[in-house]
Amino acid sequence: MIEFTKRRACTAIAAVGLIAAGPVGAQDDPLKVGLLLPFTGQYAWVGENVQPVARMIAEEVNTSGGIGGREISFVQGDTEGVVDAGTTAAQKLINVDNVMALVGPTSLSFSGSKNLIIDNGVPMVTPTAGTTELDRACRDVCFRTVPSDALGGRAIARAATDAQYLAEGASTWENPVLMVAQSPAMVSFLEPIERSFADYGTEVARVIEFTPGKPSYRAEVQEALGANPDGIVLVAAPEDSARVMTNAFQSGYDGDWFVTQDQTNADYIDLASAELVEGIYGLEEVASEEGQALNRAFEERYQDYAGEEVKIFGTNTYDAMNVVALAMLSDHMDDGEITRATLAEHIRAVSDPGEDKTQVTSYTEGKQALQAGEKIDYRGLVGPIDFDDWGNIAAPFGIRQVQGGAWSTVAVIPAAALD
Amino acid sequence: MIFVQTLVYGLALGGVIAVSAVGLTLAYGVTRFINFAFGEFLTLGAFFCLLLAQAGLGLAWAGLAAAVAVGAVGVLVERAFYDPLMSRGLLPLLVTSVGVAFVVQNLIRIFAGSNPVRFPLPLMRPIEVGGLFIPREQLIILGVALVTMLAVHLLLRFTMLGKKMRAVADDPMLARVAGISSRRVLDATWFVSAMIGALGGILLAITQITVAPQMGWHFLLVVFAAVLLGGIGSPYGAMIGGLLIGLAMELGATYVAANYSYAFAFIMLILVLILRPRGLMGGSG
Amino acid sequence: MDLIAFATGLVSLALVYGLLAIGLNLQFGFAGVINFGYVAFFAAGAFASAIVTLPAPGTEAYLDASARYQIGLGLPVWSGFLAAGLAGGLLALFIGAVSARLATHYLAVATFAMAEVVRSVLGNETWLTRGEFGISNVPQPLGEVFAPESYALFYLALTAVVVGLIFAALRHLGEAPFGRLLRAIKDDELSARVLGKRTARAKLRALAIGGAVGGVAGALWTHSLGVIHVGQFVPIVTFQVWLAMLMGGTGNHWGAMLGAFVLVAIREGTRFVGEVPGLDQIAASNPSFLPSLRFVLIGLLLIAVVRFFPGGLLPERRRRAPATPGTSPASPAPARPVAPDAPALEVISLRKRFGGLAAVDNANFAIRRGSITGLIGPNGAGKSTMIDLLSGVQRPDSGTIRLAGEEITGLAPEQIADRGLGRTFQTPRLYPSMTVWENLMVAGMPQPNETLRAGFLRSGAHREAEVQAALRADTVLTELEVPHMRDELAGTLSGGQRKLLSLGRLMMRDPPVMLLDEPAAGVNRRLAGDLFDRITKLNRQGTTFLIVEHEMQLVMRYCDHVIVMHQGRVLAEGTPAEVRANADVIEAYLGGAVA
Repeated sequence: MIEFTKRRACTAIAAVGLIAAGPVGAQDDPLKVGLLLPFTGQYAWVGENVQPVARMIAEEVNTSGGIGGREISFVQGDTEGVVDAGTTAAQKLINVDNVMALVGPTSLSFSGSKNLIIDNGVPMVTPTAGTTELDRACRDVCFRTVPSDALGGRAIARAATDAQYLAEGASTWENPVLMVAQSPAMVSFLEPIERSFADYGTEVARVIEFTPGKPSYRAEVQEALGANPDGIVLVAAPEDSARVMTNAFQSGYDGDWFVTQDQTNADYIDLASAELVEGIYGLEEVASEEGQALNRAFEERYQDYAGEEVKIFGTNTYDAMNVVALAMLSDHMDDGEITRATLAEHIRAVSDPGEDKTQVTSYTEGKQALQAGEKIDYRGLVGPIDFDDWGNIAAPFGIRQVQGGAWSTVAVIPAAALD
Repeated sequence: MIFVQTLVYGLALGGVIAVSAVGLTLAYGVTRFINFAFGEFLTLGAFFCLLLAQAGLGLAWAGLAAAVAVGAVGVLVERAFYDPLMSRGLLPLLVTSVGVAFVVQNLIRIFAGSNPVRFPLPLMRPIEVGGLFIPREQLIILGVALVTMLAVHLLLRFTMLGKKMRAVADDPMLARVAGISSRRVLDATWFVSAMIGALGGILLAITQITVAPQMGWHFLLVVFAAVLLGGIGSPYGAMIGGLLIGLAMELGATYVAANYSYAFAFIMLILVLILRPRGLMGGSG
Repeated sequence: MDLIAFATGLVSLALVYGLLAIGLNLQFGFAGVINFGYVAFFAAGAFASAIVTLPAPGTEAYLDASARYQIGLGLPVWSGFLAAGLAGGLLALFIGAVSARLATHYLAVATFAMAEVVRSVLGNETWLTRGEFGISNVPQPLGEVFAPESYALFYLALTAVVVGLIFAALRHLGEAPFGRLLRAIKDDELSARVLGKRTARAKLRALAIGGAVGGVAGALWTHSLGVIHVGQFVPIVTFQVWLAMLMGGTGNHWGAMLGAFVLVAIREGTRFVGEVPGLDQIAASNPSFLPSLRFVLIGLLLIAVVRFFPGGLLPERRRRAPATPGTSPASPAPARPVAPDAPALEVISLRKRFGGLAAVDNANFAIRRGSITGLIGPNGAGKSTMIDLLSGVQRPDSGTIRLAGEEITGLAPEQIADRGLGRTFQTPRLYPSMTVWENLMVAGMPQPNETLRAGFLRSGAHREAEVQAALRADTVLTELEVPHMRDELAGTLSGGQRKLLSLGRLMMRDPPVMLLDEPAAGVNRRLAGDLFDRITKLNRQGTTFLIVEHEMQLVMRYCDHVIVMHQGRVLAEGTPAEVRANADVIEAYLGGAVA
């Protein structure tokens, strides 16, 4: 019964897809990619930010003839920002929709879906889970295009304690305070930041953890200001960050701020107001000095595609989806088939560095190279995308600052500087 | 100094809670159930206000218009979903209100998306008085809260509608016998309740700077605490309860542990209820 | 496509929710406790079981998993389940004790708040729970024996066995006198108390069992996932359990279980909303569209189920009384020792004020053992208040009440009932959702049979007592000439029948002193005469009566002593004839409202 209705529904969708996609025909089943992300609840914005970028790449793939004639399509698996729902969503994606790969999950849902992902051997490339819990959690099938919070935290501490990475004429922080929201995606920054500051010879004066989603953070801000900080590192979702910064402003604070990748985007300036965020520092994953040109090109392309600015996780998703698409193509060209088991190997094949490899930065480039019989090494927006044994990436970080109402890069910390 | 500063912050937060709580408790008076969809009136209020402000209306006018619109939604919701179940007791209404909350919240998300949006109030420097920082936003909030509560007071004391509402709240049976519990009183109460909820939502948006589809649902628990603390159905109790909860949250967060500040609100509620099982103004029978 | 794996996961989930729903059902559907913090027991059980069974820090297993939690006891999984039950039960006892005085909304929100406090603690005390990181190495029982694909099936079987056992035990308990008492409490707690029932204790027990069941559900769930995270225990879980129970039908464990399956079907079934042709295109441009639409649907389905299935999908069936075993006549209730000279009931300087009004103002009287005493007076004279004071429903401000020479002033209703005083209410307070037979059985069941232990293990003595009660119920039904009404719901009886049943319940207990508040009001004349004939008969067998009655004809004919109250005082007393001739009485009646 379910079998029947599902097949009918699939045909219907394929039909709609056909009409939508125009002349490009897709005779076979689509290649399904599961978006295991929150689309409702407190973290609904994560799914909302990831999906359009993933879709943009999928359209790039599909309009160029798909992969072996098959189109990439997406199935949403709403984790609702709740552990249990994340588990059932993963069950449906993996067992019913038979997705070939997962994009996602977030730090929160990873705990509940980890066993399912490993047991079923579904390749997972997450643009959204920086949690240190994933640093050593799963081999072979887990990859992420977001550096571990351990690295991001280290980069923040490094920049704040070394004037060469700050804006011209700025002095290093002597008395930093750390404010961290209590959510799975945020708390994993806490320990790395605190430890790294100590490693670089500056003690964090005070660490304040706070409940996310509160209407205001006046008590927390008062506590922070009580330590007379010259800079505050703030790790929280955009909403909460805007509240904390506004409350601090209202309490007369005019010292420095450092925010994580989540806030280092144009959206956050709109959300928190340009006046408030002028001069704050932010973090961005970059491939290299020259990689920044790619980032700007992506921003333009996305603006054209979606009519909005790149949001949080946009660049990470771009890389995750390119890796998935290229791995599918590579897998298909290998033996004409694409399976979960072989896909994971091809994810490494298209992203690992190598002497004899052609470096590519997009699906179209990669496709041309592969069809020319070359081996490829995908280099992304957030770094060279070279996965270690546990699927982690290391990346240089761009230190950015809001200047005149827009983010500009003031320095790049090479990956080697974070040892 | 920190203590006085905390009091100022607590009062402002309490003002937001109090306004919302008054709205919730008014509807309780005539319908006798806790409306889990009340948070959505807050959210709707904030979003309508945002929408109208973006369309070019002044913020104050946008707020008023939004409140009236949400009042109408309140009457609609009551007629469509609650009224048919009115005779079936507490729990069916309660479950229905959870369903209504799901529906409204997610309809908002379909149209507004999930990313938080800034509430269009410009950033303002705080007023500094002898080392105290008084945010201008909080003055606005306190002002609106005071005016709202005064208006509710006048409505209940001096208008025919207010008297009827109180009569129904005191003893629905008796009021019905006296021919009061008419459709019109019910509608009017829901209108006023939802309207005040919308105002609470706008104040909440000013407090938390951003607007998002789940804002009201999240805030609802604190509003419940205030309503219960004051005694269900008592508007004056709700005002006091709101202010007390706001103060408890800020004082607890400042002096004990910031990440337990919601817990303080609830612990305070539980303690009060142990001593007075029907809240501060809930009477004894 | 692996539908078996998918179904396995969902059925396990539904069973766990079903277990939660029957746990809550025991608390609400039976005992009427509105608990909106149920998720706290789920959380307590899950964390207790996880912490008890996690490999201890420093052990090989701990290091292999590169775990980082601080506390793990490394005990076997079965001990985790025990710990979970214990944790849930103890937490429930605590919450029950704290919130004992609260009712309806206050109880709902207070329990809700307590669950949030529990969650706050679990989230903040990272040494115990690792807070927002969670713990991802929770051991899975026999995990090493099975391959991952078959493990889910094994765990489903394990879940089914555990849930099945608990389900059977709770059903058994629900049909036992303990369960019957709980349902009576839900219907009308005060009325159970004046029948001598220890309702507070029974409710606390129901709470504790419900909490323990929630705890075990937590253990089942955490070992099935292999991870534990404080984010699993958000208030929405409580809502879902409530929805499952209400959709299924309260007071009915099969219904609660069915409700859980329907809930999971709705929750997960709506994930397929994207398969509807045409929606796909909207979804492409609006990522929030399908997920939000799904919740709109969930909301609408909830509203529809509540509106169109008032009693739940599987409404509670009316219970049929079992055939009475044996034919031996009911043995008479045991005689009570009484001080031979003391009056049956004695009231000295009794006062009770409500605000500015003195409802009972220095009342004094005594009631002779073996009499039928009428208590009359104009409206507002304080008669009903007097009955409330005598039965402990209200506490006097001052004064003394003695029952057979023993002081009972200020005792709780159930204590007074135990000392041999029974009462009825002016508006009969029956258990409307229970049958006539069940109403009688609740009243007649001796306390030792209503304990938890007796609910599970019935000794010979318990069984004998139950047979006796059933025989008595038959006798009472026959005496009241309504044996055909045995299986009618009390809520469907007519006014007169309710009065009869009120008296019947007292007859089950056969207390030496009965206070009847207007037993004949609203009863037709013929039935009223029958009723008083029955009272006379009971009186001849030794029962003392105090009867509030407006119908003067009945008072004159049946009472051998009359007390007249006026404005809270005893205006006159004596034989009916004396009272009728008393000038003050005539003045009071003519001066006041017509009685």
